[in-house]
Amino acid sequence: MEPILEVIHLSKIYVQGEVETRVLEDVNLRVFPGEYVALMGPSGSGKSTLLNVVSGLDAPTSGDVLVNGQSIVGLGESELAIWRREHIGFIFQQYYLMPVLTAFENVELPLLLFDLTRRERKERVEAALAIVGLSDRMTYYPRQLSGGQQQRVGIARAIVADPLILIGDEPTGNLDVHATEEVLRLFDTLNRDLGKTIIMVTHDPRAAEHARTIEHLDKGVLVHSDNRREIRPGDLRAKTH
Amino acid sequence: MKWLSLIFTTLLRNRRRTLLTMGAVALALFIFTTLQTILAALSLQVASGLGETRLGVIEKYGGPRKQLPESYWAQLARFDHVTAVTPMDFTVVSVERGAGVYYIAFAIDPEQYRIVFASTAVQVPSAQYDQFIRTRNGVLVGVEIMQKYGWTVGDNIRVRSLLHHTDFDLTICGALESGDASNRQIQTQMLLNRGYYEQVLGNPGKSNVYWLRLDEPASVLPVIKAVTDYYSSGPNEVSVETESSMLSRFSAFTATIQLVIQVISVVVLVTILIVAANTIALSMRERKKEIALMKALGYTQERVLGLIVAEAAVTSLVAGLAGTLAAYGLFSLRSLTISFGVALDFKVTPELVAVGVLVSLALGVLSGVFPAYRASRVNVIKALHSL
Repeated sequence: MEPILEVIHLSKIYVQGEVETRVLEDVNLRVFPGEYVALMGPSGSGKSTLLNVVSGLDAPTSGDVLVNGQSIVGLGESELAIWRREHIGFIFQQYYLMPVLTAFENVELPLLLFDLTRRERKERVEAALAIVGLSDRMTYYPRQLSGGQQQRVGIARAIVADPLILIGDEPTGNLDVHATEEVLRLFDTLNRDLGKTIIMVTHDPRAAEHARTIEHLDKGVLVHSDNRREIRPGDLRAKTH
Repeated sequence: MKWLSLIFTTLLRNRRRTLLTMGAVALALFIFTTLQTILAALSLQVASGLGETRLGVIEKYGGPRKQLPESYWAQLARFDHVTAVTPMDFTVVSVERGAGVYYIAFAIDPEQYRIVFASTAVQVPSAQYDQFIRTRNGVLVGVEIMQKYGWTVGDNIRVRSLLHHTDFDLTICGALESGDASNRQIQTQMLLNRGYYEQVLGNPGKSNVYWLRLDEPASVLPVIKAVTDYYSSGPNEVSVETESSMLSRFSAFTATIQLVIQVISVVVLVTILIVAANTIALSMRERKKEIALMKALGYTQERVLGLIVAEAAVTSLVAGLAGTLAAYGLFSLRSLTISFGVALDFKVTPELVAVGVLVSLALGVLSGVFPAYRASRVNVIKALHSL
């Protein structure tokens, strides 16, 4: 089975004036379809940078990133944007919902980029909102929703275009315990029942517990991989080289 | 359609600001359209067609406002290549029921005028024009004036000359109608029989202009030279000009006003352009994270730029249309005809409305493009912080 994501000898160096900061150093990572990976590490360890690079928001200094066997390093900004809309679903800590759009319209936002009819968009948005349990909140504006509900709208927006990989950046970082549990259960459902590949940055060990693999980053180096669960037949797992 | 819906939704995020911006653009376009309407009224339209076989003879230094002796009429008719000559005096008149509304009236020799201004005379039915020739106090009235006052051929009317403070009792012999958009001003003018005009004024024996009809365009330069030379040593030196040049001279006194109007129009548009661009830039700064989010979701830089420019264009277009139509409404509410020595008829034409709409659109695109370009280049990582 081919990995869905392969990070090969990835390094990232930020240069400010004459100061060089090595944020990632020779990182290697393989994520297989249907995997659920948590990236952990102290602040400044490079986990967000790693997320940025694998999602095409930032370019590595050296190394390669292959998604479905195709390198995304060297693609232009517009090419990466088009690539992202088809391959990546983002879930942010601060939700980033558009306040002037309803839950339905927020979820519809990525679909506007696809050649779909109004009816097709409606069906897909309704399906995504049903998955996150917000069918009855479609016409609500973000300000009318709780934090947990807003994050569920964010998750619906991430999955509506059926991307290859869901990328979560501290998705529970702004939520209370109850809402955190709801969101993590939703992640479990997406991974287990719908086969979504998830890569999530988190500081919260309880959130990381839900992942099958926990990758630890420290000072830009992938230091430890913890395969937490027995992989069932057909399941695929993350590995580090 | 899907994009239009998104554009309108985002435009309404800050309704007060959007409405204020639209109000400013609408006001600017109202002013612009009003100024352009005044400008159009000031610019005398140049009749096309046979123009270049007509020459106007006027006093060299005073122009058409300084009259030439009547003796020049016969003298000019004797020049080679000249087939007809008509004197033409002009005055500004008001009608009894139209206080405050003024029209320009020309006193001409009907028979000669028919030859010199063949293209104009044919707009009047032949029988009516013949009646005009036969009727000493006859008048041909622009069809728009006829409609305005409900006049018909055969009516007796009284008009008052503003320049001479004298009444003229006239009999309408026909209606002047233009079959050509470039000569539309004739529909708001009057032609009087010069004989009667002279009689009422006490036979001053002078004329503002003499119009010559030539046998062919090739005769223009020889005739100009011959006439100019002939009168160069006399007491009244003349200037001989083609019709287009003559009409320009008629409007020369308004040139400064026209320049000022153009400058004000440009200043108004540039000011509103800067204001609108600044407002959009402000809005973009506030929406930095949303734009970054859109890019993260897969919106390309070009798509983001297009959406923001479209937002600006829609705002400006709607507002500009409102401002232009307000000007249209203002000038349609009451026909505004004002005299600045010549009668000016202010009308917002469909062409001016179209210009207003295009200017609004251009204003929107220009005001939006720079802030949109900057916004579309937002760094997603920096803007979203958390990633």
